Amino acid sequence: MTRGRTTDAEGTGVPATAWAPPWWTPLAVFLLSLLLRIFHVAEVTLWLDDTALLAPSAFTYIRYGSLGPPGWWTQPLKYVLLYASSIFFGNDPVGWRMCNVMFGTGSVLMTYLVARAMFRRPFPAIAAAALIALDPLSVAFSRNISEDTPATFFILVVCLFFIRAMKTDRDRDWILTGLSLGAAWALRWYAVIPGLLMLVLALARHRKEGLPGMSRIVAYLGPLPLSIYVAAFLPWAARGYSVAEWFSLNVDAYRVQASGMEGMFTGLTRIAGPSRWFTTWIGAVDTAYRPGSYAAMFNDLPIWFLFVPAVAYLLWRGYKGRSIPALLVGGSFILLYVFFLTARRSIMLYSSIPLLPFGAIALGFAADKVLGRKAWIFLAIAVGWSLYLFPIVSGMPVPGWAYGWLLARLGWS
Amino acid sequence: MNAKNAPAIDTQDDPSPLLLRAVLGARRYAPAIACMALLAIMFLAFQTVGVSNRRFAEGYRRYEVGSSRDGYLLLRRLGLRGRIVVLFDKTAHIEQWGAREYIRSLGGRDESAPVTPDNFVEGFILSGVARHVYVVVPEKEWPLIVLHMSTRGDGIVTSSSVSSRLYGARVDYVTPENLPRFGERVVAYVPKTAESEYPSSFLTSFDDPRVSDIYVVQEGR
Repeated sequence: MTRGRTTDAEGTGVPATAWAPPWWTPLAVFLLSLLLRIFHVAEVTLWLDDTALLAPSAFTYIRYGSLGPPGWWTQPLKYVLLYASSIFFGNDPVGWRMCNVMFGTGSVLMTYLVARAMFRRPFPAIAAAALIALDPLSVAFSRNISEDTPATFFILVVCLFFIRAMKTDRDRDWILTGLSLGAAWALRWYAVIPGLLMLVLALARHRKEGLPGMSRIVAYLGPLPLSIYVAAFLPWAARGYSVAEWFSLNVDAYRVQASGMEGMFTGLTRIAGPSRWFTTWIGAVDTAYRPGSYAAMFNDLPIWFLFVPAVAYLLWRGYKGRSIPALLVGGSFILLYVFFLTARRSIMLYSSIPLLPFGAIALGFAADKVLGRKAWIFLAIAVGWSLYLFPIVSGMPVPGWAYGWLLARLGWS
Repeated sequence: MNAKNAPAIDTQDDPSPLLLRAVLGARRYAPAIACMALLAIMFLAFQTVGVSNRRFAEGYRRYEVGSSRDGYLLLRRLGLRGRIVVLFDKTAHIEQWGAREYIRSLGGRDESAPVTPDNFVEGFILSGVARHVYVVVPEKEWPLIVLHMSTRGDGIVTSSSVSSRLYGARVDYVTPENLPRFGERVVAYVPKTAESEYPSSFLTSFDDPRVSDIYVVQEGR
């Protein structure tokens, strides 16, 4: 163990640590998460997996610039990432899924790094990384090719660089914040929400610098990420489109999403409804390839249930301590959740994926603060519980008596 | 000497302090200027890539084809790309079940494209011939189009048009009176069966080199 810093952590009232985790901890977090995500990656197929649709679309987009089929109203960077994954890992289902395996693993690492940058104490970072590494929904969606997983990764990268930029105020950190924010926007529009929160927090901090200082912040969090967002559409532009038509495409995409899209989500009612995410078991189950094994996607209710009070606690402490990282993490969770609750279209369970790292960071912090040394016992119980859930996410054969109650709650009969 | 009693400097006689101040002032805005410039370059690149990839025919040509398949193959062979296609018919012919085969056929094997009377406009879009399709619907068919598109998940209904998008390309259904003026020459496509549904002067206005570079009349299905 090495000696750590002794100052308070970002004004959140958490006592400074006497030791810091060793240098290889992030590497270990990455490798353990990778192992959990790559295990049985070829054998587990979710019933709502869009691989058969999105993988051909990636090739169509890169080669011909065509958006879809289907989903022209979604953002196109996912096609670029998927195409790159097929080049690196092979043009087959495993090669396509490796895209999310890597970004899902990267999300765990980023959760760890964001929490470490916030608190300096090891527990919140280790707890948050462990909770996300084993979270059943995060694991399940690190095995298919949904764009929520890479979007979550880039949102966490943005948070990490933003926290650094707010400390150092170096242009390099602001540029990296803007570039990763652009990548997140080009994957999912909801990434705009943490971006706006960052803008407000940064402007509040730099308000005394006058117009030059504030214009610098606006430029790094506005035009810079927007440039990346526009660049993601260049293959589409090559089909003859003008900038005006690009604006029209985005307006139409918003209109369609705001119209409710009811016809698009028939059959998904079991996993619809964000109001139930933290209070009820929600999910769906299918069989994996081996007898007695399952491919389930669901919320980890006992852990998720704790996210909301933990986030409220983090926000309260962050507000009292004027901690921008705490306000960013807690605020992003709340604002994203309110956005999903009030969205006009149907919102499915998988949209909760970007909330989870923020909830896990808050829970790690709250457990550390409230339980003190006993927080490690809490973490051991949480990890044990998550390990119990892991087999029905990863297609391992399981005895019916041990999992029947949960499978029944998830609608499996 | 305090600042209050200091003699005023007449900067109008000496331009260098003003210039210096302007340069120093601009430097404070350098990040904002650089980011705005990057965004402007990106939009410029987008516009250039888009407009330079449009392919028009030289002069004006009028074709008569025997079927929708012949029509599709004709437009592909003419090398048209990124075009506005104006279709005079009551349906858009975009039944979406042949996308995969269409995409496979794009590698230089047009003959294998799964063209049918129901999906040939889908082929125009997938192959990149059309970037925007206007379906000019006869007035009497308009209520049916509105009803049909209102029930679709991705339909956009406005007071003057009903729109959807296919693979990112806009498909606008309009009545003849709501058809907009175009800032470029278009591809006019007229199935013979629908010809009688429109005022002859309206169709003739598209059989004009100033309005379209390609005018296709499709005889059969």
